[in-house]
Amino acid sequence: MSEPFEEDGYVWEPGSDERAVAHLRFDPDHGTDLTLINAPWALEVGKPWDVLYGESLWGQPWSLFDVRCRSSQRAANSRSGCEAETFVTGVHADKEADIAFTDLAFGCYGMREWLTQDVETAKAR
Amino acid sequence: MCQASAEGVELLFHVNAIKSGDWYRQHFEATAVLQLKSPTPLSLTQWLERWVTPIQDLMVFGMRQPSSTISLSGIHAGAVGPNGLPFDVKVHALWHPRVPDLLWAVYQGRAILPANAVDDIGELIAQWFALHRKLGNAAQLFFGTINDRDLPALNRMLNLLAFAETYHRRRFDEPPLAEAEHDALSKQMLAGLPSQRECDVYAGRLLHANAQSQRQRVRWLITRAASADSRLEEVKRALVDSLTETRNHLTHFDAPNEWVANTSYGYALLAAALEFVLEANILLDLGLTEEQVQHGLTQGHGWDDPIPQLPANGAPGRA
Repeated sequence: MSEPFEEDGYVWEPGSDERAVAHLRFDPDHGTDLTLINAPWALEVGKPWDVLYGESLWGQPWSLFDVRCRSSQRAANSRSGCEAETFVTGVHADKEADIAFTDLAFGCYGMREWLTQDVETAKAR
Repeated sequence: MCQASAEGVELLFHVNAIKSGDWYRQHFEATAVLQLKSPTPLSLTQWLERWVTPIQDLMVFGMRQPSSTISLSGIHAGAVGPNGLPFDVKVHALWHPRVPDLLWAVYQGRAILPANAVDDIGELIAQWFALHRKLGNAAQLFFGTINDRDLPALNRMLNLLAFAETYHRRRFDEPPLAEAEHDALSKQMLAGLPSQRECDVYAGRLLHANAQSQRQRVRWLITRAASADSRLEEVKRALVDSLTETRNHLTHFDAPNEWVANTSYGYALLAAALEFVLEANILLDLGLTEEQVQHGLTQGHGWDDPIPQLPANGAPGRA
């Protein structure tokens, strides 16, 4: 089951060394929110990125796809709020099509009921 | 646990039961996951479009309740973590449509094709993928429509009617004339026109002239579905006329007659009846016997059978 979670780490533009401190929140009902601290490359509201790279504090790679800067606050420490369409943990990839698996695990609503529906009980009813 | 394979990809469905509790109460919970294994790496896009979507569509179709992704993860070839082991790659997104975790009871009396409705789940899965591939992009038109419970009744009816037409065209098309004969006659007719101006008007129309009408296609699908549910034979004329006349009125602004539905109830009932017909046809496509199809439809429409509600002498719900 996909549950909401939060992680701290670093985020940067692919090919750049300018890493920004990041706080990432994912909620299956609201999507991915990214807060960047002191990221001079992410101050322009509305700026889009096809992909941003990141890494959690424990070294897990992140790829954030279709990111857009939603808000920006400039002070002694700047703060930018961004949204990402898709957030992938575990790999750095330039586009979703570059992520390749031989093994996939997938769960969806209704699968449990599809597998466990008792036809005989239904027949009896 | 159910095992199947299609196009070289192995599929393994798991149900994991979790039991917890204390002295006073016990709690049982089950989760289900599908593991897929491909002989060659597939991109995330390929997994989503060719495997995840058809399986999710099977859940939508079989259970007659909306479905959406809960979790998606895999092992990316070559991605290694600090401990030398590969990272589990997880994909997080706002999956559409947004579906709440429905109560178990909500699924009761709606399933037309649960996993244990057939003896050979492997065969069912293979047939399902074969059919999904044949439908191509049109699959999204049908499964996307039935997966959206918020779609207005009118849009639902028009979407299903458009799908019925393309489904028949892809699976059971019988043009009135042979292609060569049609080409020769079209050329002959166009050659008889006085100038290019008239040719421009008629050439496009003639291109599509050698095709069955929507009315013929819908009638054909209802006749086929009636082999599993004979009640459809009795309402065939009313259903065909109501669907096509209502659609023609809406899209071509034809004058309304007694076969044109004009209320949300009428649109909803026509959409439900057409969905019933399409369900019967798809179940037959999957290799189920007529008895199995009849049983599936009876079981899945125990509480919302649209057929007895259809009037015989006009469109349903006319105000």
